Amino acid sequence: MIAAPSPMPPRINLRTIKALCVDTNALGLDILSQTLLGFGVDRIFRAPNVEEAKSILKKDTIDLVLCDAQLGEESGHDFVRWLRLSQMEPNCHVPVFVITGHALEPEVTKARDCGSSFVVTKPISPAVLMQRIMWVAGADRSFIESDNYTGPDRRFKFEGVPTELPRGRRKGDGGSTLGEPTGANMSQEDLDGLVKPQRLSL
Amino acid sequence: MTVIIRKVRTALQREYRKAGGILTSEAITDANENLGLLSAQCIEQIDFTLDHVSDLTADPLKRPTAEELRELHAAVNEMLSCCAAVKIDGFADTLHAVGRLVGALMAADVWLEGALTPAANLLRLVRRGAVAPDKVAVLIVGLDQCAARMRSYSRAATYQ
Repeated sequence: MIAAPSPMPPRINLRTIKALCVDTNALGLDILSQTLLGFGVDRIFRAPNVEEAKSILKKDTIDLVLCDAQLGEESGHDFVRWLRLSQMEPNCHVPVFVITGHALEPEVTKARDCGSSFVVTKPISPAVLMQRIMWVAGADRSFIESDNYTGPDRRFKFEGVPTELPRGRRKGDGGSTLGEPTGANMSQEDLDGLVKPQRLSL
Repeated sequence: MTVIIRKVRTALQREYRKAGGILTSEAITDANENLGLLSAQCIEQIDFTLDHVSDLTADPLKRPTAEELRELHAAVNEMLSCCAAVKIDGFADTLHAVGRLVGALMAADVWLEGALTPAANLLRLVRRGAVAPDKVAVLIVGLDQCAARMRSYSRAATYQ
């Protein structure tokens, strides 16, 4: 089980951290790097394209990567996948944050499955990014290498409502026992209607 | 299938709690101040990109090409980056809705006449602050309804 993040400690030390920002948009790069500068990161590499990012990663040890999901012709997801499969120790294990403007479920799933450590939606807020960095730094996630996936462990164990109290710890928690059904079961026809495309006229 | 599970301790994990750090609240304030310095440039970039969006959606009868849709998608992404340094009420939400609509169009072969015109107009109006926040929410629902309709014609839905 991946432990829940501990409460945010009051201090963070990123002075010795080397970060890489990858974004094809110059202003986007400024936004990422200025945010990290504010966080006390002194050594920031800026890559305006995937080629440059790859060359930096081949030459230097990087401790944190912020990467836009859209990198011109290439996607940020392909870049992260390349990094995870590169076998360049220790860079292939570096925490990678994919920053995306389009956070529909398939996009987020793609970003997760390429091996990113966290997906952050735009517009970036320093408070949110700080919280995510603290989370990734504090969580003890294993690194998985398999035929289909290489990256931080994607599994999160959900244990349901805490059972030590009849209705959980929070006001909104329901009971841990299942109640009676509230309606009739759906027919096969109803179920088919849910998953089969319907013809619509323009 | 072989699965290797490693315990890797990254430099970030080793360093982030070391002595001599700064208060996280101060770090966030400093970052916000740094972003504030970029706000003029971001406004300029947003206006420039909005002009490009208007050009791409000028003809309501013509479906944008795949390349133009990719450009629109990228334009929305760029403007969302800029929203980190510029606070315009409802603008980021509108951009997200336009992104959903463009995404739905990219996945469908059909074209509903003028499908992108309200999106481009709404972006301009919200940028100028000409729409009240509660009205923006209602208009975003309209964009999402259009996106849902486009999704019903998506290639995935058609060939299911």
